[in-house]
Amino acid sequence: MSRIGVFVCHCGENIGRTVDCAAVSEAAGRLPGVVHSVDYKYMCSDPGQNMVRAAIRDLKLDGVVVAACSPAMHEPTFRRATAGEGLNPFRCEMVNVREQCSWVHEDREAATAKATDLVRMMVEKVKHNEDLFPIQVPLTRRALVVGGGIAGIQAALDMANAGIPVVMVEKEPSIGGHMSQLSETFPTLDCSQCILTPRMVEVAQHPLITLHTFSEVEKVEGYIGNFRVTIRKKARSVDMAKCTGCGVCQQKCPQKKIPSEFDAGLGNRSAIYIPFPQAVPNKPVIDRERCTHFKTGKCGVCAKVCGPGAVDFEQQDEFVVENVGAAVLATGYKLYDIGNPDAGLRGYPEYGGGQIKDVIDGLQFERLASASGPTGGEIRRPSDGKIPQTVVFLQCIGSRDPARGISYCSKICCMYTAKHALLYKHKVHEGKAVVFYMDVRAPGKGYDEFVRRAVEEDEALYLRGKVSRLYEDNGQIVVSGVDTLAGIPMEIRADMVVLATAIRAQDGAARLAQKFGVGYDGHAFYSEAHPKLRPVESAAAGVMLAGVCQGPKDIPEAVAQASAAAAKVAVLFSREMLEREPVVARVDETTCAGCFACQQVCPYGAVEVNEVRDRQGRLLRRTARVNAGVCNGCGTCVATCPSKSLELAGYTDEQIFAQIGALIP
Amino acid sequence: MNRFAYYPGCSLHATAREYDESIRAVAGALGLELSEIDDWCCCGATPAHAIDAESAHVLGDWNLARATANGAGPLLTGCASCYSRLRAAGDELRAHPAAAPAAAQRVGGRIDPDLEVLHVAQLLARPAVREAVAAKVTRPLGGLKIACYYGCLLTRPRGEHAFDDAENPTLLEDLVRLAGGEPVAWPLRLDCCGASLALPEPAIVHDLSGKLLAMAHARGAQAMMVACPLCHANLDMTQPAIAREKKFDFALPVLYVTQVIGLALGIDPRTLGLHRHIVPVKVDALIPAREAKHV
Repeated sequence: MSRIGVFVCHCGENIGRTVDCAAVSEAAGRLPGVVHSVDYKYMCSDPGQNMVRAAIRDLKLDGVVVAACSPAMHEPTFRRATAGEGLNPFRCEMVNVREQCSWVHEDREAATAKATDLVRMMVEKVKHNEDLFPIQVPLTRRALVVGGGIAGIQAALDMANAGIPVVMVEKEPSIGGHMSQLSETFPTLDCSQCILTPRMVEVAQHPLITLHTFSEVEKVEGYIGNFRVTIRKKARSVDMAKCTGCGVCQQKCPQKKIPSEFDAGLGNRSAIYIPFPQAVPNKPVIDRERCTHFKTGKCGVCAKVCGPGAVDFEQQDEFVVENVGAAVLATGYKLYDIGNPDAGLRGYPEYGGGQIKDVIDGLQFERLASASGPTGGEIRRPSDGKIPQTVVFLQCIGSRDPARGISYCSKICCMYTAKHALLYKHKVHEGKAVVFYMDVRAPGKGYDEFVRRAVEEDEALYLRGKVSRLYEDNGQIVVSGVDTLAGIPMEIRADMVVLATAIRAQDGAARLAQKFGVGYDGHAFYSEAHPKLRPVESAAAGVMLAGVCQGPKDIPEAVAQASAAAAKVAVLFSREMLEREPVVARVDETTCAGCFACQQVCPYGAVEVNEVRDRQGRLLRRTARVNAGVCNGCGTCVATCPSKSLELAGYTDEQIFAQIGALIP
Repeated sequence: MNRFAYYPGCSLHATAREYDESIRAVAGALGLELSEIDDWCCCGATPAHAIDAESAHVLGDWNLARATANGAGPLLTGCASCYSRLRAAGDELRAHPAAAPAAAQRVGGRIDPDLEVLHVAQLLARPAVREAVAAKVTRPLGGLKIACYYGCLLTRPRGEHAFDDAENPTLLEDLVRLAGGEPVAWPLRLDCCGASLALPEPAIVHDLSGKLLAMAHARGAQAMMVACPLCHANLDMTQPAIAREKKFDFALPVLYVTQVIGLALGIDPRTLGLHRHIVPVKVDALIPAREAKHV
């Protein structure tokens, strides 16, 4: 006969208001096998937990049922209390009478009856609970960072400085990301490159960081603590070991009119190129799509002028396998392209659809304002190089507009638009800066003050309203909009227009997430494990998130998240072995017919093939086997198995049927 | 599906007679049968819903009920305002199905809530009709540069069954190409012409429509194409006054969409009512004869 204790929590008034907790406790006390039943105002509090512990100790309980909130909230609390008295924690179960009862019902009588039923079911289940023990998994103390922007750099440096070897993968020829393109950063106006490039160098020189640039994650196998990552090192066409980074090749390359990605298309680069002077590594790469040699077989000037003979036209993509125990995804963002939208977005044909040269986006303005940019930091418009006397800034282009497919706020545009207006006024004193906005969202330290500074000191004209159309007329851009506060239509003739286009997840973000088993939303931003309490972990064990790949954020937030992700990896690596919940599927190999339907349905790739051999080593048959280190206990395989050879620890058929049986009068 | 319940609306029986004539002529040439609905009334246009939403619904419902009774098929109209109001009435009925019986009682007849409301231009752009037009083009417009003008109401209401994208419609341009013309890229396609302010505040119309005419001309248009009788009135009928006031050195013929298509189909300009315009439409000058010979 079981000795079960039932503990009914009022959760203040959360449960007690709708459920008669004393009545539930009393009814539970009459159930066979229940030797103790009480109700209490706050069961999760210290005195509440002590009631549970005292009962286990004094009454020699062999099962504990806590009727309270969701197990997602306090199951660990009560299981810890249970274990504290030497009872296996998996003999403690929670009944959710808050989210699944009191919060969703109004009728006190019916809610009380339902809570009583739920408790009775759990009592029957607990009678069949068995001792379960955490699974021990070995781990590789080495971390992968995907993305070499500021978030990836921060995470890599934090981990490496904590003694964790790091492998960084960056798809571009240089690390640095978007931050390397920025002019000055809000709200302090420090020079972006001045604060970033030392960190880039630190990454390159850190003895514990292995850097793979111009590389992408090809394949991910394994599980938390034991990932095996295949990295494609794209052919650079330059032997990194021989190249000295002298730069003669890019000077002599006859192809010089290729729009530079680093200058957001406003400047040019050669076909063999170092993306920008401070690039890390400071070694070139050949753009094979545009290189004359790769297109026609001729030219080859770079190879001829290269002293060390580093140019290698024959180079092939290389594959490197790295074993790591955890990963930090920091893949960043791209901007909404108004002329070439993808993913079913419609773009902004009414703004010229990217065809008006002097309608630029925020990153292009950054390049114009940057000392390292194509104009040397002078604000000159792309079409004719003239200094614009009127610049109109439009916020929320693509963002916050469900009709256009993006309902979220891109978060950083209010701040960078204020910065752009301010930088423009600092450089063109007599110029006029006009900002069309929906709301100004500047909640950050010193942020609102910064926006006020742009308005009050630098006299940026802020107009609340949207712009319906932009068109060219006599070398200017006509901006037709509305000032909704004054209630009048506005028409402004501008020399240049800057669009604060929406922040979008980086190309390929969804594909990478699938490789790691990380969830993502409808916009391919990665999903955190819990929006409040686990904001830097993904739901995939051992995979952390940092920076804009998880959602729009500014530099300090991206850096903070990256440091937090690094700390999470450090916590993970602080243990000898990894412990995982033993709620995993197991195969009865004596009845398994080896159909591997379970392998087909397993979302985690946890089902392996087990070969049953006789003493002579002859293969008798193949059966499925669940790798407990990979299994997440979802139970899909259990439901699929035609021969019922699978069961989920903690949720066996016996336990489920006992629960159902308790419900049938 | 070649039969349509036809709602001309007030203008097409009066100042925009030539629009009605050209719609009927083009429909005839394409084998589309129009059945004018009995006892139709004013759609309410802008004044009704601006003053009293209830009255606007009743007017819309009345005409939808008459169209339902007509039973020929989708309800076809040429006026942008009628189109917009009739669709708004239908949207309202579908949004509030519970109010439908009362609405039907009020207008004395059943209303088919799913009755499709079509603008003539929309009908011409339908794949089957398009193909019929393409097959029957006998006098392509020889690259005539036409500025398509949508105005405010044609692309509204948005949403389900919308005329086209409200911010960047391309339907009229496609029809111009179909007729062998060349649509002009110009930015004011969706601006307001001044609408009914022509009577109470003519100066506003002179400014707004004047801006449209000047811009279309500046971007190389030889003619404008409209799909709304009121836009036409402002741009064509008022044009001499605007031209005097703004000192224009040009005159821009303003054609209805069905007149443009009708010309391409080789229909006689008089049948299309082109002689009724205030700004003369010199067809032979606009469409070079040598182009016609190629056919």
